[in-house]
Amino acid sequence: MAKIKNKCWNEIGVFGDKSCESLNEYLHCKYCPVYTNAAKEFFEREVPPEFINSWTLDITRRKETIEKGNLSVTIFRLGDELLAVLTDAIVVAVAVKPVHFVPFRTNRTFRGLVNLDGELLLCYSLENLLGISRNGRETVEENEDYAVYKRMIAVKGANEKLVFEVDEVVGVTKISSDSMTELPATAKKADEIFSQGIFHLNDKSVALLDEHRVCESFRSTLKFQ
Amino acid sequence: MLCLTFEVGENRYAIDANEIIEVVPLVNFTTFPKAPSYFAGRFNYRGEIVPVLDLKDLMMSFQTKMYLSTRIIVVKYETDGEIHQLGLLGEKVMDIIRIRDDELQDPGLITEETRYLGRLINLKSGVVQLITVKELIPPFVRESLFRDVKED
Repeated sequence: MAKIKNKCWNEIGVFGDKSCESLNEYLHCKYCPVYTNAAKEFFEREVPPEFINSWTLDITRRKETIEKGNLSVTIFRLGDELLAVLTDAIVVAVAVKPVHFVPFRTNRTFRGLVNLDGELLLCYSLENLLGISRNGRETVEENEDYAVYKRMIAVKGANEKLVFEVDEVVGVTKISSDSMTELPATAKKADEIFSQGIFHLNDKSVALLDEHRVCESFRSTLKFQ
Repeated sequence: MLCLTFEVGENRYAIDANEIIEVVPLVNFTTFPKAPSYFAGRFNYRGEIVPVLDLKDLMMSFQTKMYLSTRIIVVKYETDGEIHQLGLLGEKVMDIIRIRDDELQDPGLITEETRYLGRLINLKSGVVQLITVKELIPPFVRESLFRDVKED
């Protein structure tokens, strides 16, 4: 390997006294062709034989292709139910914040107002809208492997942002729209009108909520009687 | 057109990225006995036996240097309507460039033996010549090379 003689970046470049005139053009040595070419010089040397042996073995293995979809969804848990919304529809998921009661307005579904980074948002109860009981797995102690935190998720619908509380944000995954199954026609559960479909994640079925329909129904609970 | 560039000797060449399956590091080859010397050998590429051409040997009768920057470009090789895999041994397989079709110029001198050499492009860093993968192997070698593969 040819030893790199001119390490100008250490002398007149960003790691030196920054006097190099090329810095006006490239701003940082990492954008300068001198630096790039010096890095390429690094590869101009013999390959250690053990590298070739291990590469030979690596290349014999078949490539594992993972079927990944194009829909990014965020999965969360409410009671025993796993639900999801499109990640695009989520503004933020934060630690649970206090909900301020609104006189004459707060009801079973509308919980009140939440201060989210200075913005007052309406907070609703998703479990109440969907008719999910949260009595099942509410305690953190049940899960010894990892800590479970309740979260508040802010979602943006067509016209507004709103907040609801979930028992746990499970994570973000990608699904393909083909892998989603339609809801069975016979199922007449309350949440089916809010679902776009069901997909499977580690043998558990997850309902993908339609954020627009959820937001709409939340709003309708607030109408003046 | 997106192209992968590499060097053979002092010259830079490019292959259309659409023809490339994967670029893999150097591996140990099993040699072809009595084959033309530009056949570096064959190797187990993800479960399939793939022959490898030493481009430097093919073009200038020198063996490719086994440097860290030397890599195997696995390309699709179409013959008789079937698509095979072929490895190409190139030096300094480092860059990907984007070429517009109107920037390409006619190559000038092409002999019968170098029909794989394609059009040229003038870059700031020097001239890059496109390579037609299909023409790399002479027709009579092509036939016997992939016939054996088929009979397996």
